[in-house]
Amino acid sequence: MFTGVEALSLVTFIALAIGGLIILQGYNLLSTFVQGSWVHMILVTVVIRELSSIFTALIVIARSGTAISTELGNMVVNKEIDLLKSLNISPLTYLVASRVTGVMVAMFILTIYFNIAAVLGGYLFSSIFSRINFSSFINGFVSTLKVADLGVSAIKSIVFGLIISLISCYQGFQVKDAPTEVPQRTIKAVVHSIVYIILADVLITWLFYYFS
Amino acid sequence: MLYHNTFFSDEQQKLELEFQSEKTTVLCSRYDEASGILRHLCGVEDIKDNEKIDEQLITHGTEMPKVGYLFRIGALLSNLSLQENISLPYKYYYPEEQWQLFQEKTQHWLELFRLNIDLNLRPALVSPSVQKVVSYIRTILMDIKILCADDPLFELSYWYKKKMVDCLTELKESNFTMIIGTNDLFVIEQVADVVLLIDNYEITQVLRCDDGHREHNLDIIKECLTKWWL
Repeated sequence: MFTGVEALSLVTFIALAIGGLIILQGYNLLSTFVQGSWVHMILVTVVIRELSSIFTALIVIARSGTAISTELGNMVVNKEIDLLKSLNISPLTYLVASRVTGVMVAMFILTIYFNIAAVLGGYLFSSIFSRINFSSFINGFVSTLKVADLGVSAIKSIVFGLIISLISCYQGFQVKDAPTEVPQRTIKAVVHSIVYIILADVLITWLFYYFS
Repeated sequence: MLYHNTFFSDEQQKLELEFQSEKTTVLCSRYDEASGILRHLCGVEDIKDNEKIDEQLITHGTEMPKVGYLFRIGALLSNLSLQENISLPYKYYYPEEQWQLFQEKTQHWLELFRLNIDLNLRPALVSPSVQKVVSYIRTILMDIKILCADDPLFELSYWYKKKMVDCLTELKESNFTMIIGTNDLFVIEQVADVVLLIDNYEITQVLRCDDGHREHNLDIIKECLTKWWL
């Protein structure tokens, strides 16, 4: 709920804005070459393949990554992890597995949602520049879109979800005794998550082009 | 029956402890050694398998632990209510058919401590005393063979201290095996069968309080505690 549903408003706002701005810049650039229809290509290449998963990941890092790291860090300080161990309940099963699954599923759904909202944002902005109707815009977009584009977006979202949740959990568990360590570990979780999702993004994109 | 454990306080030092079953052993340490030993015994700190309390007591896989650990502070999961905290291990290990029996047992212990509070509250909204009592009830409701209590009277108010000692005395009288880490003389006087005086992870003395030398041994403990405190 927290990672997925409660993030929808922020994802909607950013996706509409990003989709609109991409179209805005695209029209400015391409209209000089009388190639306005290429905006669909830009929308697919930039938003679907790249930005949707990256922006969704950044939103999830900012909201859920920090929350996970802080929560687990505080649990360590308050001896709650020790408590689970004393009850023979594995913290990995009880705390980490649910968070990893939740963040991965939420990332996947939010990325799909981001894609849809960004396309709608793109349509809203393109309707400002040209009297294009919705169905022809969508038809143009769908004809440009390939299954591989959606596939790479989905793979990225799941991998990013895994990276964010694992790093956040790991950093949370690295807190030892003092409450002052909690924000330090949270910052590390954010920084490491960003670095690793960028690296993963580069790798997946490279693999995508290599195999296609 | 004797439970035997080999405990390494660090790589150089080795401490061998023996606990008699159906007796109450008190670990009375100068600093925080008793707490560290209890944490190792209960598997809270990472230890090698051969250092665990006894082969019979090692919990395998997803079994309910056989050694219950009562933390010095009332350790509860902050995102669960008091009721959920009490029932967490039970729900985790037992099927729902036994739920009714569990609730009856819970009610019995709540009445014993006269704990008239809303169990739907989160731990942060109740006093440390209540948190500790709730954690004690949770521990005792598990089907444990040994109770390890780290400073059982710590953080308790006067009333709950009295009730806690009553409960520990009751357990002792029913020949329940307990290992208690404390240097509270009141607890030692009330429940101890054997007292191990530990200084810097070395057992300096083993004193029995369940035989004819009880008064004499309690005097030695008092003397030792006074020396440590001074």
